[in-house]
Amino acid sequence: MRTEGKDRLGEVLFAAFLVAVGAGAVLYTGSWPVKAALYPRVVGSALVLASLACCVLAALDRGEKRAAPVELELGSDLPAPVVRARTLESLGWIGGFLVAGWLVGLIPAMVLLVLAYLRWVGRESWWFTGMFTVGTWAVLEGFMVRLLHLPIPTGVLASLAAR
Amino acid sequence: MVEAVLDGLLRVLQPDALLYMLLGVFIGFWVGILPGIGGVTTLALMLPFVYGMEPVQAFAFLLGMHSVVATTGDLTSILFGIPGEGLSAALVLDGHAMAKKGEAGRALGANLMSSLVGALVGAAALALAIPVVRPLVLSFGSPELFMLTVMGIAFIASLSGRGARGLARGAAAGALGLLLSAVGQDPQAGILRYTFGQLYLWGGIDLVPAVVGFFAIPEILDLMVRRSSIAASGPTGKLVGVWEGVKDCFRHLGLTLRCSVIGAFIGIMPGLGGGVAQWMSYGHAVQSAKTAEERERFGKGDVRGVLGPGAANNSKEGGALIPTVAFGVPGSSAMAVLLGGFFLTGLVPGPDMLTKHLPVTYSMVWTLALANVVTVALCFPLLPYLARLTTIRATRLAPFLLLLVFVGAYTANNSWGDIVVALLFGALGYAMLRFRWPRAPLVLGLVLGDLAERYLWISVARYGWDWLGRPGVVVLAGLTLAVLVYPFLQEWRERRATQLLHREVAHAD
Repeated sequence: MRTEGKDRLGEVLFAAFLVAVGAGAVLYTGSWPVKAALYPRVVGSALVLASLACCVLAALDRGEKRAAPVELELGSDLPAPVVRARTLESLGWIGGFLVAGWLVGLIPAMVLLVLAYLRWVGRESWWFTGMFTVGTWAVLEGFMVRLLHLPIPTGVLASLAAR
Repeated sequence: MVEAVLDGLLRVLQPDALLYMLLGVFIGFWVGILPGIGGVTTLALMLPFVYGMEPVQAFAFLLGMHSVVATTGDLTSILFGIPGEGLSAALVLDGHAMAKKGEAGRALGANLMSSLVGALVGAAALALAIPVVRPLVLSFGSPELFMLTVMGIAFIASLSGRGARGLARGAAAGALGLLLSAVGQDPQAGILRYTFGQLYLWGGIDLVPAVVGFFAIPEILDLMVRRSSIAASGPTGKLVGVWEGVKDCFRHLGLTLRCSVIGAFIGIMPGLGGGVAQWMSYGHAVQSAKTAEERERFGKGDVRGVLGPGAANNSKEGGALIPTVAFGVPGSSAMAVLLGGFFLTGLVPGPDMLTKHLPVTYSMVWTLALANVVTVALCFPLLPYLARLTTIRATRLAPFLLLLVFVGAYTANNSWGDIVVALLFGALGYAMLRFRWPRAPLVLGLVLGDLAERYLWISVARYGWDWLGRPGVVVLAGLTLAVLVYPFLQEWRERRATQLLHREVAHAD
């Protein structure tokens, strides 16, 4: 079994990134006392060596048949361009939700996400979308805020308005 | 003694105590299902309510609630790949893989039954340990605890793929986990390691947002891309039944019992925690595979990967109660909060709990057992409906799951840092899945790294290097070597058997 070209390059880059992380972590310990530095130096060096081995084996494309996979794989039968487009779109939704959460607070952002996602991506009816959104808000407000008193952040706009 | 056992049972069966236990079970059920809002937070929130209660009522309420959280926390791990509790993450690997194959009912049935077996073993361990608890706990010092963590780390060899490339990936993932566990204030010199000026990182990387993001975000992203249901890759039609999972528990009763004992034992050791119990039992379940081919099924929906962690997750509660009750030394953060319950009800943990208040101690044993029996009895009729959640369209499920992930991550420390950690670990988890790297070794490293370093330095400070010769350390070192070598030995034996077979076929020709 051989790995596809793009996947192989991706794994080489990923492993190279981990080599850099390990090497950086070891170098960072330079000025620390031995007791504080010993553990990160040992495991950082192990990370460098193991990642380097991964990097070389991925570059040579050796041993993939026996090595992979140890978990169920991601993906579907969809064409690669569709997968790429939907991945970017989904990342956009997650990023947008986080920006909205930072601006208006986590609960309004969640309500907005549920409403917008169900309506535009799920193409649900306004009735279903409305009911689901109200239900989500009721659970969040009732359970998280009223019952458990969890300090859910209110967002920077609310903080600015309070000043 | 028998009198105290029966007295303890009768006290729990009093209407008031029973009612408080059922109330605790109800709260614990929902808290467990919601990711991130762990049993510790809920115990702390409910602690003021035990003012004025009798000790038996208070512990029926608190322990009833806490013991159920571990059981229901597993449900979201299986159904959605989102660990309900930070400690339920090992179940994502095989439990969620089974759900994806349309076997959610079977996974839930197996998990619930193994949880019950685990809880009963934990309660039995608590009952049996009462007379011998002192020498048992005192025989395990920091050197033995260090070796126990090293043995846990050695399971990385079993959780990695096969061959040089599989092992290199597992070793790299494990080393990365160990390195990430070094983030935060160093316990020796007080040096801030890899905190980059961020106050949030002083306490290290919190396990809850890290594990929730690591496992859940790649699954949700995949679901958002596929836009089909979770169980879409499985056979269409009827979901595989809950009873099949229950039968699985009895088919693999030996494994379930062994993992329950591992959980109870790790629970007894103060400071090791539930994460260690779950991952070590998962490692043991993987090693119980008879052949390397059989081992390959783990991570792709092997029911034994559900039974082991499910049992250990519940049995550890009984174990953790032992040092709490006998010495006032909490075995976990939940037990530290529970210690507050002792003082609020006028009890002092220690010798009195094993003599004067022995019936109260046994009432705790009964509460652990009864609360889990009640939970399992209540959950079974719900399981077919819960399993059907995996057939809901992704576009309806995805926003709800995202909400669970971010609320779950945020409630770990009530900080935006939690959400950033969840996102970064989500990206890492996605990359690892994309390039077929095993995720379990990273979590094992993250859970055990900090403990290993801590116990190593305590051992050196206390005993110099003489601790290396302690009998317990030598025995555990031998077991560690066996854990490390076993997968290689297994592969070598199989290769040899195949070669012999080829040779015989060639001779016959």
